[in-house]
Formats: sequence, C-alpha cells, structure tokens
Amino acid sequence: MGAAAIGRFLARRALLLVPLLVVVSFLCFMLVRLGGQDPVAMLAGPTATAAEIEMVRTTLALDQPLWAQFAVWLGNVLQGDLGRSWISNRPVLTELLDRMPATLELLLYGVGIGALVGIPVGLKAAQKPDGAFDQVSRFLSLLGFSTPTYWLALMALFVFFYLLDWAPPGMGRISLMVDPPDRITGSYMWDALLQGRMEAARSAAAQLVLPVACIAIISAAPIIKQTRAIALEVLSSDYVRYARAQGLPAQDMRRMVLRNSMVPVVTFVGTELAGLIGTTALIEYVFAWGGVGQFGLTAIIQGDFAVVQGYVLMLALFSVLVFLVVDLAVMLLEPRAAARA
Amino acid sequence: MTPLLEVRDLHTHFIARDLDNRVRVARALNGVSFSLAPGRILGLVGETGAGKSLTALSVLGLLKPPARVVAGQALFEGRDLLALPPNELNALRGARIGLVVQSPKTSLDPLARIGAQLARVQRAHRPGLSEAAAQARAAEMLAAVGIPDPERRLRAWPHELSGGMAQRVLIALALVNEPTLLVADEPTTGLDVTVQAQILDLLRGLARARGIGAVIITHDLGVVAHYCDEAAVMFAGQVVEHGPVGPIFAAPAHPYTQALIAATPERLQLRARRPSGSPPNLYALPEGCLYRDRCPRAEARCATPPPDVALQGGHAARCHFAGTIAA
Repeated sequence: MGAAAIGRFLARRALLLVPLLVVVSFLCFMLVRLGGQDPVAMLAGPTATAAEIEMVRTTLALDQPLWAQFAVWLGNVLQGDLGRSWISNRPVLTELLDRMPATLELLLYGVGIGALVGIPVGLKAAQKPDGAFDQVSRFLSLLGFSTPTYWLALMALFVFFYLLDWAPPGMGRISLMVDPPDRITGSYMWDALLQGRMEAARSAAAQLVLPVACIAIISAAPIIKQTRAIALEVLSSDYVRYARAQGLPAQDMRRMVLRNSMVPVVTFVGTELAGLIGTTALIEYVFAWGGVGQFGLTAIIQGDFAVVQGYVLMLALFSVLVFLVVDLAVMLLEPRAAARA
Repeated sequence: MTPLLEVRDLHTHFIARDLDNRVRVARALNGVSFSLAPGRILGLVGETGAGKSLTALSVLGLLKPPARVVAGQALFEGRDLLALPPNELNALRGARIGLVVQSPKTSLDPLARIGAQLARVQRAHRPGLSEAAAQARAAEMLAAVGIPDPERRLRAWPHELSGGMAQRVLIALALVNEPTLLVADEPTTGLDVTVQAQILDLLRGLARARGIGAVIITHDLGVVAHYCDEAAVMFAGQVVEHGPVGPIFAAPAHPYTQALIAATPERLQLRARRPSGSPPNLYALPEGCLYRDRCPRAEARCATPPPDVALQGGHAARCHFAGTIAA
C-alpha cells in the first residue's frame, strides 16, 4: 500500500475528528453542568456571604447562559486551555500531562502482557476445541472475566504484600525511601535507567509488578476468548479447507491461520486498550498510583469539574488515537481495507 | 489397464451424540463404488444430499468431525488413500490430485496475492524450487486457464477477482503441479450461465490436453451429457447406476436415473414423470433398496438389497428390475 493511500486516510480521519470532539466535549460539558452541584458555593467556602458568592460566579463567567459558557470553554480548549483545577489551582492540561505517562505505563504494559499471553493461548485453545488445554484456558478466562477489578487489586496487595511480603506496598510509583529520578519520559523506571540509577529503577519496576499484573489478567481474559473464537472461525473457513486440499505443510497452514486471525485480533486488542483506560483508574486508586485515572476519579468525587471535563475529553482523544492506530495497522495487514480507503 | 481411481464400497457416517447423550449415526454414504480410468472424465451426478461432495471429501481425507469414513477403499494409482498416513496423503493432495471447489471466492486465502498462492502450492510439493521459478510457472498457468495479462494478475488479491476469474485461478491452483487426477466439486455453481460453459470447456480442454483423469461432481445432467465420458448416478449415498454416458442416457436402467432424465426441463414440458419425494432418513435407513419408497416399481423383493446388474454397453445398475424396465 502506498504512502498516498495512508495520507488520504489520515486526512479523512482528521476531518472526522473535529465534529466528533465537538460533540464529545459538549456532552461532557453538559454532563458536568447538570450534575446538580454548585461549584461556586464550594469554591467560595462555607463562610462566604451571598455577595462573595456572586462575585466568584461573575469572575468565572458562571452567570452566563450555558451555551455562552460552552462557547467560551470550547474557545479556550482549542487554544489548549482546559481551565484550572479549582482544588489545586493549577492548569488542568498541565495536571493531566504530568500524570499521563504513569497511566500509560500501567495500561500499555498490562494490555501488552495480556495480549502476549492471551493471543497464543487463544490460538492454541482453538487448535483442539474442547481439548484439555481449551477447557483449562476457558475456565481461567471465565475466572478473569468475572473477577471485579478493585477486588483483584486488593487481593493482590493482601496476598503478595501483606501475607507473603514479596511485593512492595501499594503506595505509589516508587518507594518512599528512594528519590524519584528527574523527568525525561515521565516513566520512573525508564528515567531512572536513563540516568543510570539502578536502585531507583529497581524500586520503580517493583512497584509496577502488581498493578501491571492486575491489568494483564483483566485484559488477557477477553483476549483469550476472542482470539479463540476468531481462530476457530478461520479454521472452519473455506480457504483453510482448500489449503488442506492443496496439501500445504503444517507450517504454511499455521502462518495462514495466524495471518488471517490477526486483523480481528488486533482490532479487539485496540478496543480493550481504549476500554481499559477507565478500569485502570480503579487499579490506580488502590495502588495510589497518581496517574490520570486516579486524578480524574478524585476530581469526580470532589466535583472539580474543570478537571472532570478535561479528563473525559482526554479519554475520548485517547480512544480516537487508539482506533486510528488500529485502523492503520489493519490497513497494513488487510488488502481489502486498503482498497476501501 | 489399472484404474486411476477406484472407490470400493465407501461408507461415511456422521457420528454425534444428541442432547440425551445417545449416539446418533447418520449413514450418509452407504457403499459408494465407482472407478475412473486415466484420462477419462466421470460425472458424479445426483440430487442434493445424495453424497456427491461427501464422496470427494472422504476420498481426499478432508472430512471434518463428526463425519468419518467407517469402511471402504479409495485406490489412487493402486494405493489406498484412506489408509495412507496423513503426511503421505498430504504429499499427494495438491500435487498428484487437484481439487476445484464450488466457492472459489471464499476458497482463496484472502490475505495472499494470487501469485503467492500459486507459488506456495508449488514450493510445498517441490522442495528446492525457487520463488522466481514458481512465479514464472504461476504466470504460465494463469495464461493456460485463460486469464488475460497473467503477469499483472499475479499481483492481484482474491477480492479483486470476479467469480469466474476466481474459479480459473482455482483451476490453475489445482493443475499447477501437473496432477493425474482432478476432482471438480460443482465447479460452476454460483457462476453466470455463460461463464459456466466457459469454465467447463476449459476444464475439459485442459484435462484432455494433459491426459488428466477428472471427476466432475454436478447435479446437472446436461453437464454430464455434454462434458463427461462416464457417469455415476448417486442416490442416498450409493451409486445406483454407472457406465459410459451414451448407454446411460440412451437406456437408463435404474428407476431413479429414469426419473432424473425425465425431469430435465425439456422433458418436464412434456408432462413426464418427475422425481418426487425426499431422500430417505439417513438416521433410519430401510433395509434393501433405498429408493423403494419413491419407486413406482417397488415390490416385495425390493426389501432385499438389490444386486449390481451389468447391462449392455458396459453400464450397470443397482436394481432388481435392471434391464427389464424401459424408460
């Protein structure tokens, strides 16, 4: 496929992005406004007089009609101004960007490991449906499906920290005894490695193990199930039967099944990635991770709605980005998709 | 002369358990026998569910559970395909035996270019063959099946082909390793009528030119009459009549063959008999002749298995009355 086709595809996607983001931002703007809390009263504090409350309301332009507030907000968003957190008084964008690497680290490693384990297991299970391997993997997958996220995280801490003392406590991204490295990528582990601080790197890696394992388990369960179903469908296809009629060797057959399963599997892992960023918030909360998920969750509880808006917008952007990457991957893997673009 | 392919008393059953965990057996093939001489074209004909495709799949070892060959032999150049170990059978399939199926568009690997698929099947059976040589041979083969501009078509994806074009590619795939036997399972179902004739002409031409023995599976008696040397008529998992095409069409001996021939569109207008009724229940086959519930001639002795009666002109029919009843 040519670079021109990819360029056309990206251009069209970018055009689609604009109305999508306007709608999403409008929805999250309204959602927060209709939430029923009066942020002004909260900001002004319990001792504020009516006049003081009115003053705060005017300064924040909250006395304007909703559509005008939205227009102002959208204008600001387009200039990269997501407003300020009413709790920390720092720009929302800065707060989110600071915390983004921590969340991405959890999510990418977790779903990455989930896919690296889940895809081969699903493929193997499909080779002999109802065989011993399939039965065991199906049971484990079901178990992973039905385990609540927060419970899994708490149990992981209880067993591996409290009972066995194999893992560090769930208190952030690096041990309290270790100075965090200077920020380069935003990932403590990589930053420490880049700066040659092995002890900090080891501590950061140790902190990663349990939360990443939780996300890996949660993402592997559906990946196993989907990969198995996809591979079974490929195996029962006309072209696999015809390949057998051509006497192709086992190696060719395996490559063919793998190649034809990959497009739907990659798409599914993409949806997992986009979907699990919400779930990650719970894991972050339990492990006091300090990523965007925990930040957004706290903001929702505290009614810090500039942050909530920014958080939701960021989730939407993240999904759009993930699906863009998935679609590009599918275009590379699948000639029919390339022809449609 | 030893036959190229000789199928002897082939029985294939579908064996599965029902909801009450009782074993249920559908007896789909009940003693299929026919033989094919090298370079000849045999038409395997019968109604839907008669077991035509199942016969091909059984012989080629392509059955999927719950279908299973329970008895019989399929001798290809003297070797029993049904008794071969999987790797030896695999070495024959795609090399000495080519298969063309009825759904060409879904039978091509959607993620491999035509040239790559043609090269893959060659290199699978000829270790040491270079990719360049395989591609060159692939282009020759595409030209031989009447695909214009073959060099460019090597780079095409399956989804870019029309149904007729895809069927030509399948024929090229089946013949690229110079097989001695070609099995074509309803090769023209789903194609335009004009394309059907082209494909069948092509198949017959290639088989004749290369001395390939072919089995063409069809439900269309016209195809058998026009393109085949021999015919085997199937009913309920048995070959009820077989022999050279001429005598079978001139003097069909089995009541089912007679009904089939009478049911061709031209004859139906003459208000001839039509083959009515449904195939017998494969879960509970009657003793004796399987056709007797639908047969206008059925008598008491039809409850015993009918013999294979040899008739004039080298053809034979499995009927108690063979040779005594006229069409």
